[in-house]
Amino acid sequence: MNIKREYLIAGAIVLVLLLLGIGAYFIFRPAGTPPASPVVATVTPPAPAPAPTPAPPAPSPTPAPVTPVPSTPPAPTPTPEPQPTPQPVATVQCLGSPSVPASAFDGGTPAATYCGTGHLVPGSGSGDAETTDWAPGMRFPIHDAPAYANSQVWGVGGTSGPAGGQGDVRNYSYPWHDDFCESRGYATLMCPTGKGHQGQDIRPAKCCDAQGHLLQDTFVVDAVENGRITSIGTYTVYLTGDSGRLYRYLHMDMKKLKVKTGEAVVRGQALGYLSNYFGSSVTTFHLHFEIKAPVKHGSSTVYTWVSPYNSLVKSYAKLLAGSP
Amino acid sequence: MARKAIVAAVLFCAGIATAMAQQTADRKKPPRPHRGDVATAPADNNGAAPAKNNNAAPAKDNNDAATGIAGPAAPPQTASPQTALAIAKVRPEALRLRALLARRVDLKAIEASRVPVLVIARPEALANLQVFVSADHYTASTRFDGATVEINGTVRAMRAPDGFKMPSMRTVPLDDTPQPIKRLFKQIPLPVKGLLPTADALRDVSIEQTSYGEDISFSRFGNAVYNITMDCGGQAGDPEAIGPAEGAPQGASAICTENAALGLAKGLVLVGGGAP
Repeated sequence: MNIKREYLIAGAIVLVLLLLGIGAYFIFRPAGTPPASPVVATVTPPAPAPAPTPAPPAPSPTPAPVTPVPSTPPAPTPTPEPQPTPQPVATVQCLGSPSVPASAFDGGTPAATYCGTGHLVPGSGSGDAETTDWAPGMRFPIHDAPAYANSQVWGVGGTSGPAGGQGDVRNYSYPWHDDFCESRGYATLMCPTGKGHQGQDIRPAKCCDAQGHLLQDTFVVDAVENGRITSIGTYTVYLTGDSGRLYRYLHMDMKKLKVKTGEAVVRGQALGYLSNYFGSSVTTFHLHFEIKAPVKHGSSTVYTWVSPYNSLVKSYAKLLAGSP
Repeated sequence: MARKAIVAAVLFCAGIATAMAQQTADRKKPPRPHRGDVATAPADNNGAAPAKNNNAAPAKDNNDAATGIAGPAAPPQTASPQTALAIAKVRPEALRLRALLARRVDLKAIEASRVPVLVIARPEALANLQVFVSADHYTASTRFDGATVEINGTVRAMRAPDGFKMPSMRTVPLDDTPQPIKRLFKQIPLPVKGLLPTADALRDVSIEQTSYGEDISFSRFGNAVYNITMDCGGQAGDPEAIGPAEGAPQGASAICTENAALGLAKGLVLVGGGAP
């Protein structure tokens, strides 16, 4: 009985306040505004988004600089960086038929080569040939060269690769191969099939010593941008860059991290060591590096994985040139 | 009991009054585009105008695997972003959360941020909550039920490549108004019905499975985009797993599912932010 009475009192108060609110609304609504109609007065659909300014097409692989659409506050106008012009190296071929010549890293020796963006190991899926540098100016995530970006699954010793061990010399040699969008069941919006590998795998200079033991705690992994370590998972380190981009480092030695959650880090700061952690499993000795960014298209905006390959190529070229 | 009911009623009415005032103020101002209606690039983004992608993702059907959920629902009737934000700020759970976090996080910094800061309000998540906020993005990180959960939000975005085709993504209405309030509104004339604070929604909802769990992205309040990462540490079925870990391997938490990710997204509570 008492509860019912309390509800009645509360309901009455709500009703009175609502009526007062409605009265206030009609009093304070701007002159000239027609009386409220059921929809117009109370529900305002979001304003339609203006069509995005089309970016001028640029010849691949040198993307044209983008001019940000003015906003509030205005984003600083980025200064376009000179884009390296890949130099084809006739002697090094990328996997595939017909084979394609690899390109030398700008600033490196002719022996250090990489295959084009979206050029996956044949049979491993459809790559993202997009040439956007999603993280311009980032540092290469492994402190020292050489390092080899390539497939763990379709590489030698991988579950779909040629027979052999992960220490096979072919896994630790150029040219690099992109493996963003390599066949996986994970939804990845940027991939041609809508699914694929969400990052790039990178091997260090070598995996093992002469006895075949993994070289744990040898290869240092660095922060690619100023930012903060925002989370540490079972085998993933999360770095949120000051730019707002999200970087994820997988398979590090989680017991010997040099950072902790909440710690601010600067570009080039050591985060820990490359390893093979994979939760209750192990993986090959490599770093899986991801970039997730807010991407706008039309009136939709979504955080999604973007290809790190171009940013890795550019940052590795700087590392080879001695100015990481 | 009666006192609590009265306080709740007053807070609710205050929310409605704020929303009405906001709507009135909106009408007085000349129309201007929302911040989110233009693509803004991070300060150092100088490469987002690439050549056309020959491998551009094809348009996806309504049962798009990339989103992991059924196709777009009919767009719900929703309030303006400003109204939705104003209502979210004065919801009782938001006010309670602010009081709870007042001594643990920098509410001033949160309030000054351009991005509305949403966090998980569940007690087990609040116990380990850390919030890192800047002018136009934030991260809220926590651990519960054996999982690491991170929420990222921003009001800036990079422009998609020309050849990129965004798949259709779903809008999920938020309907968490208490039943008694709904019943009350049924008795009220039509012009007021639109003020019912159920008019908010998650837009552009995209759920993506990862090796370690689930990620969900969505936009809200017009110009803010969010990402929730649920990291359960799993790797089941991943072809890169080559054998069991030695020693004391960590088992995966079981809470990382699509439904759980969507549930977290729908249940987020606004702490502050959304400054002009």
